[in-house]
Amino acid sequence: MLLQWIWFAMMGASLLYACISGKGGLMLAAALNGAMSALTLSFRLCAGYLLFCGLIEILKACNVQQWMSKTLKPLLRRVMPGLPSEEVFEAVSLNLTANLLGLGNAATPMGIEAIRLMEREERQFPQVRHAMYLFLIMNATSIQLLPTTVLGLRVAAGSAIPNAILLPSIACTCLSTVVGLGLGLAWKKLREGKHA
Amino acid sequence: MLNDLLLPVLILLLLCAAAWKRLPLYDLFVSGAGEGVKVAVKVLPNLAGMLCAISLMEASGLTNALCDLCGPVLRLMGLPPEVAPLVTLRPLSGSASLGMVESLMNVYGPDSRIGLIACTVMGSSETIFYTVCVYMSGVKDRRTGYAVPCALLGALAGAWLSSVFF
Repeated sequence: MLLQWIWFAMMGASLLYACISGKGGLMLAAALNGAMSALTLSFRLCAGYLLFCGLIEILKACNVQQWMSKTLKPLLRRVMPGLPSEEVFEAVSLNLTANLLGLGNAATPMGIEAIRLMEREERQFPQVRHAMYLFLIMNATSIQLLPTTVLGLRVAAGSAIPNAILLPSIACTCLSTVVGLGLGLAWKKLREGKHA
Repeated sequence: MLNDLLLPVLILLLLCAAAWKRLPLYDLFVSGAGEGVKVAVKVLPNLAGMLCAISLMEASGLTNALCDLCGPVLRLMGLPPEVAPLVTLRPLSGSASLGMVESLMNVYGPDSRIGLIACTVMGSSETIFYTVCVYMSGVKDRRTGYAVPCALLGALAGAWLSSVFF
């Protein structure tokens, strides 16, 4: 829904701007060039997908995720103390570890399920809403550790140092999640302070 | 150094663990790679839509106008103004920002400061609006409270940090 309006804005504003600035004649070629680069880009992306989806299938079979989920739980319990039932906790933990490992396709259904379970518990425990927001923040600030797609593109673009972004990316991802969570927790404290 | 070791070591560990467990390594890889092809086919139409729009934005001069507009703010954060469209599009569309990264790498090179920052921003952030929409799709009460603004500010902090590394 939202995407539709973004696309409209991008296309509409460009066409309008081009007509005003006298570049209308360039538009057809530019649009076709865009479609052309979509073809080459998807080819380049496909190489990365082939390799990493293959490796991820092995990762799944190794049960690494279940093991990580167990290890992560104590930490999660401290960040999200508002979760009453073990069932919700399990779904949250499985979703986050799947995302950490880059199993995006597996993570999404678990995330939707976690939110659904949280809404069900909200009637009894209103504070679950807060845990739900924190959970959204964690997912929306990307906790995937290895940027495999971008790595593939860097290699395809002929980079001499494709790996140079690995540790910086991990640091940035951690910072964004910490800042997002911190702001969320601060917001909650502020609201509670007002009510007290 | 550590950058170069990370991936080989992780993959080696993974393969050893799988071999230890007597898993059918090769069959697993092949079936996973098959899934990868499906993913690539699925993203192609989305890429086409977004890359047409981005190409129009660039050819019409709109991208440059936007850079001039957002440039001062980003420069204050230590980011080059050329990544302005990327930072703006990243929370909205994965395909659009991927296309943006690709075109920045083509113009400035993957190992330039702009290329490195663009890749780091892309690799360390998420399609915030899309993620929140999808995750809330299963429930009736779709209020998201402070989640989106907090996530956006977090992403901005991550983008700032990427400029410190390069």
